[in-house]
Amino acid sequence: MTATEIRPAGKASLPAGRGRTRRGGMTRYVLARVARLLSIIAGVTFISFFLLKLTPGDPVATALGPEATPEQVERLRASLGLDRPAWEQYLDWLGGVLHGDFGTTLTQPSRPVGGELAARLPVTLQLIALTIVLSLAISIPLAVWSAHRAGRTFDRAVSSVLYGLVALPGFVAALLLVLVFVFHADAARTAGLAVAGAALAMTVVAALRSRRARSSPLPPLIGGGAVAAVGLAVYALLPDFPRQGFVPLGEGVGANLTSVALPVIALTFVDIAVFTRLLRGDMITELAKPHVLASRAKGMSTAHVLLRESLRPSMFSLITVVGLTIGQLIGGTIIVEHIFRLPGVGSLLVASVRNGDHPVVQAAIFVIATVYVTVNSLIDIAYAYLDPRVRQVNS
Amino acid sequence: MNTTDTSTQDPLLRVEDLVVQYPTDAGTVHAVSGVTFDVHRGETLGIVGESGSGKSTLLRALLRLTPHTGGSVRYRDTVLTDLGEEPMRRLRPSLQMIMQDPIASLNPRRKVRDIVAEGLRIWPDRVTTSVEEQVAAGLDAVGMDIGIVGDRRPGSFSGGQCQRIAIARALALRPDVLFCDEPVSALDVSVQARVLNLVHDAKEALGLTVLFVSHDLGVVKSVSDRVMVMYLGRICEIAPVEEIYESPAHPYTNLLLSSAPGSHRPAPPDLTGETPSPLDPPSGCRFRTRCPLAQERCAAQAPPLRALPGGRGVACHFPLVTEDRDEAEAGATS
Amino acid sequence: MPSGTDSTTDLLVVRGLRTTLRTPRGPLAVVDGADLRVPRRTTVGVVGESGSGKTMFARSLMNLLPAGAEVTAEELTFDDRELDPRRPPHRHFWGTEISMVFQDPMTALNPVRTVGAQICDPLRVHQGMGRGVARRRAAELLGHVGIPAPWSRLDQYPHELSGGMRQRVMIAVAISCEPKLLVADEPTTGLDVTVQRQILALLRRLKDEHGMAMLLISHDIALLADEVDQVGVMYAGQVVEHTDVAQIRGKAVRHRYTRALLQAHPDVNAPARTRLESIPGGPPDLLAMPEGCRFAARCEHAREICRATAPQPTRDPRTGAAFTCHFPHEPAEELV
Repeated sequence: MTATEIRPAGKASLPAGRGRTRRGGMTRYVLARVARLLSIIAGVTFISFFLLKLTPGDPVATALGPEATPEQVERLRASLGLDRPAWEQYLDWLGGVLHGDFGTTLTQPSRPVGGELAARLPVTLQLIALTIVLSLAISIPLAVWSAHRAGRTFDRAVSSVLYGLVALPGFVAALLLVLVFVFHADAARTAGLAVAGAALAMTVVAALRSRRARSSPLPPLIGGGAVAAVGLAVYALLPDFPRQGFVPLGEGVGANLTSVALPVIALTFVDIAVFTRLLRGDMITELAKPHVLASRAKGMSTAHVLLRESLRPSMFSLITVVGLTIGQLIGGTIIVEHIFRLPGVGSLLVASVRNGDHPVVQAAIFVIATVYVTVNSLIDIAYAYLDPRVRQVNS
Repeated sequence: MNTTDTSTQDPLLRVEDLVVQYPTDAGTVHAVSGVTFDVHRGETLGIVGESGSGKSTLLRALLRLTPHTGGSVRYRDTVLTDLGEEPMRRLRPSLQMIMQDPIASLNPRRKVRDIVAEGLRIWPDRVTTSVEEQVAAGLDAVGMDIGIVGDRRPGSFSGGQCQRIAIARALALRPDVLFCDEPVSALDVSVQARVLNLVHDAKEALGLTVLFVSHDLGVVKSVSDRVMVMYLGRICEIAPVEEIYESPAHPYTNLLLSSAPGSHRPAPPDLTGETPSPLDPPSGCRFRTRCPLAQERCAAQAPPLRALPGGRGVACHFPLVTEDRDEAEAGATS
Repeated sequence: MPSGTDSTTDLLVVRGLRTTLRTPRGPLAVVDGADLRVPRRTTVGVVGESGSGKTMFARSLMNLLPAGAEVTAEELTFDDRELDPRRPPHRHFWGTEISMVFQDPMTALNPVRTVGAQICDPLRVHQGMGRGVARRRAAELLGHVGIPAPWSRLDQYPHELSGGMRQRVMIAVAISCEPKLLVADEPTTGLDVTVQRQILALLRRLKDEHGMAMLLISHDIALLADEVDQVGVMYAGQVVEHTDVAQIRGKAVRHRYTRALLQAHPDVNAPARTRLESIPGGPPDLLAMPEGCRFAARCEHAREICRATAPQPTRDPRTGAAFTCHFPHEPAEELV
């Protein structure tokens, strides 16, 4: 027992200090964050650069193909500066990046890496953004209502469905979606109509029952309405809507959304399950807290208690996981991109690794690291926004 | 400084100018700021104060469970504050502590007999008869039968019973001093009486010296021989229990006593103040920001702990009890 | 209870209240046949140890209970209206008719919302005030509960206030819509004694100024003796004695449990080093409630009948105190 290690315990409840000035502290906090962010990105690129050097095979030889003579290989190597010491090459590369120049592809004909990425990145970013937004849009209401009805029918039904979704990784979901919506479009249409009808019928019954129980009929109306809308959408849009390939946003929002709809849905399944379960658990903990009881005792409505009192303090784990998920998705959409033939960063990365196209791989890693680190910094800042206590500790 | 004239013998514990500070994100916490007092052999010294008074930190610092910043603590002939890790460790069985949360202070996975025997297994030289016998005696002292409770685990006991087990664990080591940190504040009234009586009986039977920290003035009155009142890391007053409850010398003691539920003392004028933060204690006398008698001198100069007749000490420029007892009592009642 | 109270002067009448919680071990009757009357403009204290059901009793009145809890009552009348104990009242009832102050002001205020927002909530919902009007009223309320510089406090968060200030904010929220009954559940537990005094004085002042009745729940019988007009003593889910505070102060109580509680309480006025009398054993298991008197197993005066049959409510003809005990304490014994 080291006496010097132990701080006076059990005295966390010092009389609170007066509110400290917050504004200046917040700016300094953000600046410190940015500095840390830059150093992390530099570190990641440094490590990845030298790891790539260690990979077996000669990228130049691979790029020129088996017919190239040793002289041709040497010439290209020299022209790319690959005969110089590795650290010099790294500094060169870093200097280029600072000027927005990521070098050229090894794969012939040689093109600027920056241009390659610029063409691919929007596809992936759109995919990620839509996936996260859709997942949150579905999981937050589900989680809030499940937590409110913890242990009741709705909660248990949602829980069992989520168990299934967790076991449905993106590529399996993608294949299933293709199977249903592309190959059995007519059956899916009929099913959609049936689901919509059933949902509407159940909604009416539930709304009547809740009126008799003197509770608000709004929740069943919203829930049932949403399910019915999905069913009707399936009925109305099939068999026309799923398309392979990617239509850029510039060529029409509708066409663009149609082209990414199925991949996004495929990617959301796991996220919906993870987000909902996480938020539901935190909400249940939060709902048991005295301040929620106090809010009910004030006569606040259920909506107020759930949304204003409980949701915000319950969001911490969720936004952490959302950040990690975004990082994961940026390189992790490969298979889905492949199945739906979307020209995203994932497929570029896979092709480049296979071809030993190191400049492209290096640039892709840089982009992924940047997005990852930025997102996570934004999340740390979001903590401070969500919780005034974090703000004070940081200042 | 010895404020007690009753003891010609050496004190068992002598604390001199002990300071405990620790840094936090918000600044330095001045938890204990220079306290000097003696604890006599065989007495129960009650330590009262509100949150931020430093009473619990003081107790931990005496046991070197919290690092001190300055000052010294002497136990018998040993200066604890100079002691290395290992010699300090060897003294620990003599200096036993009872914590506030009885359930958290017991390992939930161990049987009661093992919990109580733990210290004896670590300190075989503390075994005078046999481990088993001393464990049984310790449990017996807190009114528990080892045959009934020995093989059960803490989870199947109530808070009061757990606190009794914790006391049995401390007593099994035949300690010299018992440090009690709010031992009954987590317990119900009907149960706390039992724990208080146990501490008292053990003290009588084993000749223990007890330091008893509590925020509850009634509890402290029922167990203490002398009482020390702390406020924001400093001693306000230290005196025999009857004196301090009958005629408090420090204005803070007076406020505390008249605020106690059920107190017959007249309520003080409605003070809206609260204890300032130990991050930034007031200059001079720390109580001056809430004191009805405060004057300029109180802000300029910290009052030293000075002796009053009857073995009392008070740290106040304008105490309610002065050297002359009669005059003081007249002043206090007027 | 105590003498001379008839139904029209009682703001709240509770008879045979029973609250059952759903637990993994089965239904748990945390309140099991509790009776209490709260006259208008009166403070009634409820004292009990942990597990006595005092908090659940208070929460049952407002039906502020965990999911799956069931409340029934032979009678539940508030302000001469019958309430249905089984379902929550209309939410405009909460805060305007009965409102509640909770034990721990740190956790009973939302940590991520400003003090102002939390005080404005009931004003806007129940009194239909606009944002600006509600804010002005909130600042007034903060000043009213003794918070200095109320306007600057509106934008602070609970963690920026001291414990006493937080409890004042809770009280401001509770009285914002002029309730007829304020239920304060251990409002000063965890606060320092000097601050506790201030908060209790504030509650007393507000009760008088607003003509409210108050139900003050505490584990500290000495605190209640200072603050209330009548005391209900709860044990194992029942109110075992309901008496005027004078009987508590004079220790002239009738139920053996009340008596034992007073004997066990460390009184600041008692001579120093007074040996306290503990109550042996612990409260009964709510899942295995004894047949007879629930206190019998711990009572030194218990006889055969105590273990066999539950005592019926009895009224002390002299003081009007109601109690359930076969062999009540006779205060006269003390005088001899």
